[in-house]
Amino acid sequence: MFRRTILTSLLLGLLALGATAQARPGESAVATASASDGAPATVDVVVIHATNKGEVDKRLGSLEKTLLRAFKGYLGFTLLSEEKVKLASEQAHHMALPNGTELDFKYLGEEDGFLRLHLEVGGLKSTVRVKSGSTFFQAGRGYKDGMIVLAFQAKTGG
Amino acid sequence: MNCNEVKELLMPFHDGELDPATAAEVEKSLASCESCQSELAELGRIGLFANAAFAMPVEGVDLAGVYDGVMARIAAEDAVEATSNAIEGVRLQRAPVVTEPSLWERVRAWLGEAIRFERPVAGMALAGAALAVIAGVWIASQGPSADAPGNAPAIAQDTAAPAGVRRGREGEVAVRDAVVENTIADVGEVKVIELGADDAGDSQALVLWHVVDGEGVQLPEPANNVH
Repeated sequence: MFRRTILTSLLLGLLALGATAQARPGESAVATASASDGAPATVDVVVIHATNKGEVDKRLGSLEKTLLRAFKGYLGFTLLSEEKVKLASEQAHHMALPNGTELDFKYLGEEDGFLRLHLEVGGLKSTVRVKSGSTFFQAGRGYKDGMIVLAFQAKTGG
Repeated sequence: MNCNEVKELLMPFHDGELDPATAAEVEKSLASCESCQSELAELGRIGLFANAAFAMPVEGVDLAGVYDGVMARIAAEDAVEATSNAIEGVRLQRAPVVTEPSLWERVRAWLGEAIRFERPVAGMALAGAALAVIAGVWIASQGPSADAPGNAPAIAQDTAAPAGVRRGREGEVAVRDAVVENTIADVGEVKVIELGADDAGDSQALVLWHVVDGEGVQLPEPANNVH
């Protein structure tokens, strides 16, 4: 009788804890699972060296116009490397950057037509969502006589 | 014939059960063995005693009332057994019929047992479970906290955004095709720059500016931002 009382009370407590865990909002952007599982995404990461002299690397193609608009005062943009990575939902990728910092980014899935990415680079942590085919940038870390610019473009599928 | 063999034959010799030849040999050995003679004499005395005991007339035992006494005792025992059987039958007839309690009655009895003061542990466990349910419901009603660590964006929002720049959720910086949900810098300073569409209608973009002292890179001046 006593043992049954204890067991039933423990069961009620566990159910209550489960309800509490479900109610608590996610604390980590990486751990948030609000995105739907679905098709993978292809993330294109272009590593660019920006300086206040020189010219724009022709290999950067359509990025030239945006780079010149976004980084006024910088004239030279050189493509250092490019990686196109296909990631499933919750899948991550790691890259070493030429300025000694490390880039880790993770595809968090699709939400309301936006592709969610979480990236961590050189002490910066950020979660961004972009429409498929759109580009966003991360810049500001020093490299040689200029800085590193990272261009991220995400597309569904691959 | 030695003494041992003779002594073994003394009993049947005394009882006259030996054949003549064997008896003659025993008798011949007895003549020269005092020990055997003593033993034979002893056997004789035992025999006399036994005969006297068996031959004693049995007197003074009256068996006349034995049968009646035994039958009376049997009858008395039968009467006692019959009486106890009758009492048992009455007891069984008067016992109430026990029916299985219903599920609700059992639950009610269990709850009553659980919350009585005699079972403080069960009562405390139930109270703890109830508090946990209430806490869970209260937390669910609060929603995400902007002050929670990891959620507060260290970004400079452009409150004077031009028309057409779409805002995301509270705390987010958004353009039409991209939204920065949150950004935090463990070192240095971070700023989110909205890159608005230019006159040609090129797409908007976001730039996560992350500058660390000593690397020679300066945060862009507001005038450098293109909206």
